Order: sequence, then structure tokens, then C-alpha cells
Amino acid sequence: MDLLSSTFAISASALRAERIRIDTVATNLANAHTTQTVEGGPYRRKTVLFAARALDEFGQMLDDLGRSARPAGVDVTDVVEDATPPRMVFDPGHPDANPEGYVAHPNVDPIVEMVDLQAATRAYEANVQVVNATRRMSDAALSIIG
Amino acid sequence: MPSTLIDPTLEGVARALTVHARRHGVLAENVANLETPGFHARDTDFRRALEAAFSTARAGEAAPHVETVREDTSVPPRADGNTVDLDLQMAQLSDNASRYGTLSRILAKRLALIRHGIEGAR
Repeated sequence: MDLLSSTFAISASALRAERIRIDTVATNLANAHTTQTVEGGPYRRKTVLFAARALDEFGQMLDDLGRSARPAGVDVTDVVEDATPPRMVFDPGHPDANPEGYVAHPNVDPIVEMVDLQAATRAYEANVQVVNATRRMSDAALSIIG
Repeated sequence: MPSTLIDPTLEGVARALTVHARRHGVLAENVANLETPGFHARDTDFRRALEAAFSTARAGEAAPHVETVREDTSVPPRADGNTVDLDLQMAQLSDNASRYGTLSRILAKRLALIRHGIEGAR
């Protein structure tokens, strides 16, 4: 892989990661009032974990030889549940109410989710800009022949 | 290097283009890890990278690997330990891409000039 196409791969990994993050926010908002899940209890907010992608052995060898651009990028390593306790709402008539009359609602805060959505969208857009810059550079390199 | 027989500028510009392309990759990685906790922004040490690129040209053999990418310590870490500043990165990326564009234009013009010399005025 040449220098610029590996840059496309880096940006692609980030676009994918941010998309997973946006999907997670969408899932959280969609389930903001879900009181029943297959695991039992209310829905629990999900968050994504990002980690910088490490070079594999072959990539590291090439890199040591000064033969490749830094590959890497970013990966979503896991989607974890937010451990915050559920929000208890007094609603004795609700079928999921406990003996004291409280219903456990998901620990999803729409404001937090919207902030996360905005941040993820901006990060996505930034990476799209990088892809555009890479494309312009590739075009410039191709036009040397012309 | 066969191209130096015709025009040493070609080789130089080509090497400079490679340095810029590498830097673009480093900056793209920073932007990709904008939200990765604990990620440290990096940048190409331009002087060292160019020196390394040109020392290979002189020796005419595989140069020892020179680490030309260093940590960018100009920005203090955020609460999550990340040191990527989006505005700075995008500005650097844009600047680097423009330079790359300029260099490729220079290379194209230079080649056109050589072609003109070969073909002569018709």
C-alpha cells in the first residue's frame, strides 16, 4: 500500500468508529424509556471504547524499514454498559413497578446523548475533510503525469 | 538515480513529496484518534525527515532508519489524556496538503520543461 492509500485506511477506520458511536447514541435514545430487556430490568445505557490501533508485526517491520506510512487508525474495542444505577420513578400503576411502587427507568440522559451525538458528528466530519484532503493530494500526484 | 542525470530537481522534489505524504498520514492518524482517551498527537519533524530523505540520495544505499515522527507537545492534554487539538490538526493538514499540491505542480512543470527540451519547438 502506498502512502496515501494507507491514509485513506486510517480515515476509514475513524469514520467507522464514529459511525458505531452514533449508532450507539441512537440505540440509547431509542431505548430511553425501555423498562424491559431480555437480561431483565430496564435498558442500560451503552458507551463505546476507542483505542488507537496498534501496528501488527508485519506493519511494524515495514515501519522499521521506513517502508510504509504509519498504518494504524482507531478501533472500537468494546461497547460497554454504563454502570450508573437506573432512574427510579414513582409509578405504582406501571406493570414493572416494584412492591414499593417504583419503576426502574433506563439510566439514559437525553442531554448527555445529544452532546455525544454532536461530538461524534463533528469528529466524523473532520475525518471526511481528511479524506477529501487525501483525495486532492492523490489527484495532484496523478496530474504530475498529465 | 537515473533521473539525476537529467535534472537533480526532480529527485529532490519527489523526495519532498514523499515527506509530505508521510506527514499527511501522521496528521490523519491524529484526527482519527480525536476521541481516543490517552492518545498523544504526533507530528513529523520536518527538518529531520527532509535530512533523512536527502542523505539516502547522497549515499545511494539504504539509509539507517531515522525516527522522524515525534510527539507533538504543543497542546496540553485534555481531561482524558488526549492531546489532539482539532483546529490545529486541520490547519496543519490543510497547510501540508497545499504544500504537497505546490510541489506536485512544480514537478509537473519541470517535467513539461524537460519534455519541451526533448521534443524541441514544433
